[in-house]
Amino acid sequence: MKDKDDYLFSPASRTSRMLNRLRRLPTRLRQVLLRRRILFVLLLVVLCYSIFANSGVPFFPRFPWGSSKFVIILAVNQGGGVMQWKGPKEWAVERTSIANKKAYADRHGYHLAIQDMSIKKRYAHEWRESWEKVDVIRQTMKQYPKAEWFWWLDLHTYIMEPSISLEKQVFNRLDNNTYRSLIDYNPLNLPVEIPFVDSTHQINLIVPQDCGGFNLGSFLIRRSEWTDFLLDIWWDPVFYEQRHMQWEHKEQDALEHMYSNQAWIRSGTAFIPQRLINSFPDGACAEQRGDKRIFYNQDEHDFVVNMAGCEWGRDCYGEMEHFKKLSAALQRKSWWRPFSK
Amino acid sequence: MHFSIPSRSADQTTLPGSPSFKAKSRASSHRTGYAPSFFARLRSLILHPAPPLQSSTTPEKKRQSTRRTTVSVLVIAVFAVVAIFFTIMYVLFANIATLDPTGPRVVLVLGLDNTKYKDDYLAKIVENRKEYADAHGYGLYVRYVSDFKNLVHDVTKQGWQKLPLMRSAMQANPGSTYFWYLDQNAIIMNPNLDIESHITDVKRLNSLVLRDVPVVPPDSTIRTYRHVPADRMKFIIAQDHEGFQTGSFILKNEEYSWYVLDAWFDKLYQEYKFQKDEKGALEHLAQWHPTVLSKMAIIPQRIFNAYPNGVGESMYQDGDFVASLSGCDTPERSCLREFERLWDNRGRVVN
Repeated sequence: MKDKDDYLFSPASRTSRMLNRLRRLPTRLRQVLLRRRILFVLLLVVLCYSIFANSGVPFFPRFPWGSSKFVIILAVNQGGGVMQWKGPKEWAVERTSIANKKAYADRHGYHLAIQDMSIKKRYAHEWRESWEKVDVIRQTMKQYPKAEWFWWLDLHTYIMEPSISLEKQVFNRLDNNTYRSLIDYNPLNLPVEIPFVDSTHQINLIVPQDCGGFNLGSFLIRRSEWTDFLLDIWWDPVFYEQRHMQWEHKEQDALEHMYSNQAWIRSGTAFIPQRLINSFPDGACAEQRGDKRIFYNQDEHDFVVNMAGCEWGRDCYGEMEHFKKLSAALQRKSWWRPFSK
Repeated sequence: MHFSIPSRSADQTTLPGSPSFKAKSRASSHRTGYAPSFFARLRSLILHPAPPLQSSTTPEKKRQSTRRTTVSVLVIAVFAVVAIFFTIMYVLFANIATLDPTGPRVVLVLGLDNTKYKDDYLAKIVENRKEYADAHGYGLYVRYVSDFKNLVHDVTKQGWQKLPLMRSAMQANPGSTYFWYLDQNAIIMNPNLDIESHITDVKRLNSLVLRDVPVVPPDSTIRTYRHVPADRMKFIIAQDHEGFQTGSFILKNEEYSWYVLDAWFDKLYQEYKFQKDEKGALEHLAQWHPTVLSKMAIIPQRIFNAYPNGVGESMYQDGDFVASLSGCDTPERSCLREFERLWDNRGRVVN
C-alpha cells in the first residue's frame, strides 16, 4: 500500500497516476529509439522519399502533394476524320499515344488534358481555322486554374524516358537549358537583334527550333499576363488577310512573324535545344541527316520523340510501334536509371 | 535530534536529521527513490539550512575552465564584431543595394521634326514643355523623330514614329510610371494643372472615363467597357469626331504598354494602308483585341487635346489644359500663324 507521505502531493485519482505514466513515456521512447536506431533511420528515409521524391522512384508509396502545377495538353483527333478516313492504324496510333501520356502523367502527378482537335469549318476565313491551338490552350488554362506550366504535345509524339520528370529535364536549371539569342542557331535567318528587347524578362514560352523554324509540336507555355496578351494577339484578321496564303504552318508562322517584329514577344520567349523535348525521327528534316542537334539519339536517352509530318509520305503507325518497342527495351536495359539520377 | 554536516555530494534528497529518514524501510515497491513528505522537508530546511558547498575544483580543472571561458569569450566577441560590421554596411549601403530604379513619376515625351520646321519654332515648343516639367518635377524626353526613320516602314507617314519614340522613352526611364506623349504641334496653355490631379488620379480618372461609347464614332458595334474600374486603366486617350486622337495620350510603364506599342507598330499594320494610318491601326487593335481595349480609358477631348478651331465639345476654351494644332500642316492652314496667336495667349506658371 502506498503511503501518503511518499508523494509531495498524494495521487488522489487514477488520472494523476496515468499522468505519471505519460510523464515517463518520453524516456521509454528514447530507450526504444536508442535500441532500434537503424530501423528508425530506415523508416525515416522511406517516409522522406514518399513525401518529397516527386519524380517517380518506382515502387515507393507516394503521397502526391495536391494539385500539380504542370498540365500536359495532348491534341488528339486531328481533323476528326473529316478530311481523311480514320482507319484501324490511325486509331491504334491514337491509343498508343494517349496510353503513353497517361502513364507518364500518373507517374509524376501531372494533369493530362486530352483535347479534341477536329476541324470546325464554321465560317471559312473568319473562324480561326488551324489557329485552334491558341483557343485550346486558352480553354485549358481556364480548366486548370491552379496550374502554372502547360506542355503542349501533338498526337504523333512518344515519351521515350518516362522516368524523367519535367522538373529534371527542363525546369530545375531553366536558364541553363534554354537560350534566348539567335546567334548560335538561327535556321530561319531571323534578325538577331531588334531594339527594345528586355533580356531579363521572365520566360513565359519555351519553344524548340527545328531545321525549318519554330516547332510547336512540343512546347511549354506559362500562365501569366504576357501569355494572355500573346494568346489574344496571335490571331489577327489583318495579319491573316495579308499572310495566310504564305503561312503554311499557320500559327507557327504567325509566331515566327511576331517574334521577328515585336520586341515584347522576344522578351518572354526562350528557345530550348530540340533534343531536350522534341527529337525528330530520321524521316523528318531529311535534308539535315546527321545533324546532331535534331535527331533522336537512343544512346543519350532523349526524352521525347516527335514524329512530325509522318502523315505526309511516311508511316505513322510503323514509326509509333517502333518507338514504343524501343522505349520498352530501353527501360528494361537500364532499369537502374531512375535510382541513379 | 542531532546535527550533522551534509556529505560532499549535493544531490541527496533529504537531510539525515529529518524525521522521515526513518521511513526509508517502508515498502514502496513502485518507486526506486525515496521522497519524504512535503512538510517534513520544509521543516528540516527551515531548521537546518544547508551550509555552502565546498568547492571541489582542482587546479587542473581551474585551468581548463579558464581556457574554456576565454575561448567562449573570443567566439562571442568575433560574432559581435561581425554583426556590428554587417549592420553598419546595411545602414550605409542598403539604398544602393536595392535594384528598384527611381525617377520622376511622370515623363513628358516630345518628338521634334527638324526637316519641316525651323529651329526657333522647335525651341519655343521645347521651352513650353520644359517650363511645365520644371514646375511640377516631371521628366522631359525629347528626340528628333528622324532617329526612328529606319524602323518605320513608310517614312512619309509621320504618325508611326511616335510609337518607337514612346518605347524608347519607357526604356530610358524604367523608374517612371506615367508617360505623356504630346505632339510637337501643341501648346500647354495652362501649365498650372498637373497631370496627376487633372487626369491620372484614380478618382479623377473614374469620373472622366467615357463608358459604353463606340470605339469608332459614330456607331461602331464595339463599345468601351462599362464596369472596368479606373485603377486598371493603363492607356488614356481621347477621341475626336473621327476617331482616336493620337496626338496626346498617356501610357503606364508596364508590360501592357510594351505589348500595345509593339503590336501597334507591327510591320503588317504599317503595310496594310489603313485610311487613318496609325489611328486606324489603333482602332483595329481596340476592336479586335479585348486585352487592348479592357485597359484603355477614353476621356473627353478637352481634358488634354482641345482644338482651337474645333466645334462643339472639342473646341478650345480659355483655361483648358492643352491646345492642339493637329492637322495644321495641310495647305489650308498655317501652323506658324495659328501657333503665334496661341503662343502669346498662353498661361504661365503661377508660383
